[in-house]
This record gives sequence, C-alpha cells and structure tokens, in this order.
Amino acid sequence: MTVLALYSNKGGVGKTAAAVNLAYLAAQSGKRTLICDLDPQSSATFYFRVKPRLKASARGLSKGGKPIDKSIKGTDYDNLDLLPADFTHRNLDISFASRKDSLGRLSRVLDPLQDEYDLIVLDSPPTINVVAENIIAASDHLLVPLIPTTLSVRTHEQLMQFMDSRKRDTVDVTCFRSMVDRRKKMHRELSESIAEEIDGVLESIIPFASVVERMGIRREPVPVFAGRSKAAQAYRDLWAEIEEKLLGQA
Amino acid sequence: MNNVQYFSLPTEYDRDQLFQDLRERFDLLVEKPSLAQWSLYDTFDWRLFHRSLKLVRVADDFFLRDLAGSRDYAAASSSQQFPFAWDFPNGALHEQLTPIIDMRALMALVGGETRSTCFRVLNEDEKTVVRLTICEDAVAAEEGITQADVRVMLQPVRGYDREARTVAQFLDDLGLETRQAEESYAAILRANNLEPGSYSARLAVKLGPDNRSGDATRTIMRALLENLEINLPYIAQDIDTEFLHDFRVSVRRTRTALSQIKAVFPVAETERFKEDFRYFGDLSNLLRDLDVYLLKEDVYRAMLPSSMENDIDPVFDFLHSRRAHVLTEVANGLASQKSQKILRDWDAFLNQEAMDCPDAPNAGRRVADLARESIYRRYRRVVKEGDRILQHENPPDEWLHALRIDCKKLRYLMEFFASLFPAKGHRKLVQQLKRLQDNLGDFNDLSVQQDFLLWIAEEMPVSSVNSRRAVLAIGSLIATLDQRQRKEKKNFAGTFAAFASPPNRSRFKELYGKGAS
Repeated sequence: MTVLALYSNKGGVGKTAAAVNLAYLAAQSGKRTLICDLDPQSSATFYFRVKPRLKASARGLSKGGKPIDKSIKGTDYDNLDLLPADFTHRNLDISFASRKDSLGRLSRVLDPLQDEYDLIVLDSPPTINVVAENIIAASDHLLVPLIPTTLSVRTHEQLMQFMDSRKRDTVDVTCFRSMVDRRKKMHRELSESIAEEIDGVLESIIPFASVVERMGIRREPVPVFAGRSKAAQAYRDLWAEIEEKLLGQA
Repeated sequence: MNNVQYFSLPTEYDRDQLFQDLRERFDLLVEKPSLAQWSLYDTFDWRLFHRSLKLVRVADDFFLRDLAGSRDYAAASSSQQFPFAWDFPNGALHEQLTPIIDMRALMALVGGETRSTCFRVLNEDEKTVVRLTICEDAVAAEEGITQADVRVMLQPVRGYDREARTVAQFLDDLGLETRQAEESYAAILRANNLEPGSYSARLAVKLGPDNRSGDATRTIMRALLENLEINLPYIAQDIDTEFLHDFRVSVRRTRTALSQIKAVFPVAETERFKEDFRYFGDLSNLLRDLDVYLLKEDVYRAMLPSSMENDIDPVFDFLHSRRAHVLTEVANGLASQKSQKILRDWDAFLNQEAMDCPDAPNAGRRVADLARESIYRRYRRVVKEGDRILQHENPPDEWLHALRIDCKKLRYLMEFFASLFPAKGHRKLVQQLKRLQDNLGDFNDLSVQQDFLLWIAEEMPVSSVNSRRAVLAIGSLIATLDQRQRKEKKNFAGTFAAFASPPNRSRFKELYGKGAS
C-alpha cells in the first residue's frame, strides 16, 4: 500500500481537483484506491456526492467510536472508495495534539487498511500544524501543486525548511505545476524557472481550465464528463508520470 | 453487508417488467448493456469442478474462478484448442492448474454469451447507492441457442447498506427468490445437457448382499463397459493420454472380473471374452508405454548429468514419431470390425436374461458370500507370496512383479464389491493395500522403463554421431533407474511388513474371512 498526499500550505492551488482526478485515474488503472478527505471544507466529499457527516464525532480519526472502515463509502466508480470529510476535522489539530504520540495518529488510523487498498490518496487542508505533521508522517509521497507565481518558490522553500526541522526525511516530496495559464507570459516564464530552481518537479503541467471549475457543478471527476478535454489529458499524463516515477511502474 | 446477493426471476417475469417495477419506486440510471462471449473449460473428469473451480475462456484469455464467479484466482493466455497446464506461460495460472489437472487436457464444456444490464439506484444527490445487474446467459447447445439462466445481481455500495436492504426487500416483495451464485454454473451446463461431475474414472457399483452372483457380476461388468465406451471415441482424437489410460483400466478390470469372480458365467463365454479383452490390452500396450515415457520427459532429463542433457533429444524425437504410427494402429484396431463385434457381443451377453447353467455353479449364490470368498482367497495368496519374498536372500524380480499383479487383482475385487462391506473398515484396508501397491508399482515402473530404454536403443537407427551420443545417454539413464530400483526393492520389506502386520491380518479376516457376517 502506498500513501500519496496532495499537500500545500497554501489554499486554492488545485489540490482537491488533483486528488479527486488522480484517485479516479488510479482506480481506473486497477488499483484499489481510497481517497481520504482531510480538508474541513470537504470539497472532495462533495465531488463524489457523499454527504459529510455533521455529527460531532470524528469516528476513528480523533476520538473513539466507530472504526474507520465503518465510515468508508463506496463511490460511483470501480475500485474507488472515499473516507468522507468530517465536521470535526476542523478540530483535528486540537484533538491530535491532546493525545500521546500526536504525530503518529493518522498512520495508526490508516494502518488497518494495508491489505484493503493499493493506494491511499490524502487530500489535506492548507496548513502547517499538527494535522500537516500527521499527514507527512503517514505518507510515502507528498505531491505539492505549485502555481507559477513569484511567491511559490519561496513558499516551497519554507515547506522544505519545515520538513528539515522536523527531520521528516522518510517522505519524498515531489512538485507539479498547477493552474498554469498558458496565455500569461509570466506564467510561462515562471513555469520554466520553477522547473530549474526546485528539485523534483514533474514534467506534466495541469492547465488553468474552466472544465476543472465545472467539477463543482458536475460533481464528477474531469475524465468522466470531459474525457477529451486538455485538462483530462493533463491529469492522465500526470498520473502516468506518478505511476512511473513515484510508484515505480512503467 | 458488503456481499453480493443473487435473485432468480420467476419464469413469467422478464427484464423489462422488472425495470418498470423498479422505476416506479426508485430513481434509476440505466447503463448500456454489455455482451460478453465465453466458454467454460474443464478436464474430462471434472477436476476443476471437484475443487469448486471453473475456467472461463474469453477469446484466448483464460480465467480461473470459483464456481460463483465472485473470485478470480489467476489468468493467462493460450491459443490451444485443448490446452494443458504446461501450455500456459509460467505464472499463477500455470502453477495453480498443474497440481489439479496434471496431465489432463482442458476441453470446452459449453460456449455462450452473457448479456448484462446494469441499473444504478440513485439517492437524492444522484449518488449511486446500489447496483442491480440483470445477467442473461444464453448457450450454444446442440439444439441451437437456448436461454440457460437469468439472474439478478445486487451489489451494495460500501457505506450504503440501508439502501441495499431496502432494494433487496423490494425484490423479495416482487416475488424474486434469493439463490446461490453457483447455481448459474450448473444451469449453464444443463442447458448443454451436461451434469457437473457426471464422469469419473472411479468405479461405484451398488450391489445388494443377497443379489445373485451372476446378476451382480453383470452389473459390475456393465459399469465397466460404460466407462470403456465413454473413453473409446476420444482415443483416436488424441486430446490427452488419459482416455487411453481409463479405457485400459476398464479393460483390465473386466479381465480381472472374468478370471477372479469364478464360475458365474458359462465357461465357453468366459474363455471367449477373456481372449477378446486380452486383445484390447495387447493392442494398446505399446501406445501406453510410449505415453508414460513421454509424460516423464522432464524427469528423465533431470536424471542425466548436465553434459548429456541434450543428447537424449533424438530419443524423444524417435518416441514422438513412433507414437504417431502406433496411435494410428490403435485407432484402426479399435475401429475395426473385430473390435466393434467384441463390444456388441459383450453388450448383448451382459444384457441377456441370466440363466442357470450347469457349468456356472456360482451364478445363483449370494454375492456377499462369493465376494468374501474371492477377496479372502486373493488376500491369502498375496500374503503367502509376500512372505516367500521376505524369506529369500535375494528374491528374483519376477516374484515382485507377480506379487504386484496379485495385489492389483485384490484391489479390483475389493473395489467391485465395496458396496457390500462396511465403508470404514474397507477404506482402511484399501489404504494399506495402496501403500504396498505404490511400492511394487514404482519397482515395476523402474524395471519396465529400463527394458523399454534397451528396446529404444535397439530400435533407434544408429547412423549419426547424435544417436550414438543418445545411446550413451540411455546407458546413463539405465544406471540411474537401476539404482532407484534397488532402493525400491529394499523398501519392500518394510512396506510389506506393515501390510501383513498381525492387526491388519485380523482386520482382513474379520471383514472377509470365513464366518464373517
């Protein structure tokens, strides 16, 4: 089982869209996949038409109660299940912090799913806090979307410093360029320079496209309702690259 | 409740009607129907079915599944019409099939297609909460395409158990009955007039202890003839080696029955048919020897020093070409007027009214008594022969061969009359005997193989360097076989002692001896 976290300490960088589309493509390729919605905004849950539970009990994640496998929901797609976002995830950092081994909680929650899934995709909230540390500790790969802005290289450096300070060298950090607007000269140039300045940037580029925005209306992954769009092809390329470079399958 | 449920449709009910009924109650999304063509494969003697497995072929891809079709164990491709385990590339399917089907070929049992129509039940968010699939199987049987099975498959979506229960209850209210997933396997085969597990090489004759011996013996012989006639037409087709093998076993059993169940038939007929069945044996001896040899090709290669491994090639080439000739001879022999007449006459003889006649004094006796006598007489002889071998410094090989034949006759007799004796005691003794037979059988095989190798060395044209090297390789093989044979001979003492141990002797006496009830 591989755990792949879509992570960024900034919001609005195309994290959830990437998590949903990559998880869908992984499942299509035959991998038994679970997408975990750890973001209190619960967008991933919404995209899969699952109702987030609004009861104040984060079953199995931060408090006792129902074990995790009772909370998992099947999506409309083969091989793809979802762990819905939960109202109480808003309090994750507090509840995590208040326990012993507060950084290994998420790992322990996911551990029983070892045999059930080949791939777990985490959609994380945009924070650097205990939740983020839990995600980093539980993941094999962090996948960081970068928007081509002057700040993005600096933000990424901050993340790497944070990782170093926490001695988190067990996780591999990979970036990909997201929401790139080819019409903007600055985007084009920065997109090039990002690839030069940061190690481990994937070649595939996810474009800024209205079709990705439409996911909120369609409540379906992009390849399902716009399979021929450039964006769908970009996610397919990105998935193929991840399979080859991170999961070691050509 | 993460498991799939199956329902049968009542006969007067169809897909469209069900769809209407469902739509009145649920929000449905209908997917495009899919059509899948497939064939089901198994060995002639149902080896996969007996392990609760089926092999599905789609084009040239084979899938090993459980009978319910709910689990895929392995898959691989082969373009063979009758693939063997070794025809599949190395991998999971090859490995899983090998111990189960061994040297048997896989044959198509039935071909057909499944039309699947999936309805998704949606909730108010238009989220799929239950999947219902109507699967309609049609098979291409002898009388054309027939509808074999219709079932409704309910697949719950994880985390939506309540909705699945609601739909299941609704189907129940409509009058659909739940069923086992395996049922469609049997339904599909029956549509092609096949009964799963219907053929077995094992003899299972049910006799009553008070039956007249003449009638009971005919019953046994008819079962043997039936088996023989089932296998016969496949021998010439050369699908695998076991049709000939099973045919020969039936021939041998028939000969044993003719000679060991004494004085139940008139002497003239008994003698005539003994002769006739010897003809079937003689006709097919060489072909079977060649088969055994070719089946062991890998074993022989492994016996050779690595420097000689390929020197044996000409031998196998020779055997293959020789076998092609011999197979034709056997096929012609079996199709000949003579063979046909033997089988016709034998069938007529077995089905005529039993008449008491002076030269068949045992015909009217209780079969339980005659069975006991025949088995015990044969058993005492086995023990006597075995003891003689044990007491000898260096017993001649022929003695062991003779003992093997005696054991085989004893085993056949015990199988013929198995239904007359308590199953448990009988099974135990058969197991004991089997161990002794295995030891003697191995000893005999090793000896026969050496003779056969010598025969090949003489038969093979020694013209080229290649065949001279092959003759050397044969020499090396004979040496190895001879060593193993000596070892097997040493093992005999222990194996026989176990078989003829006092407790075992008293068990035999209890079951088959005089005064046993």
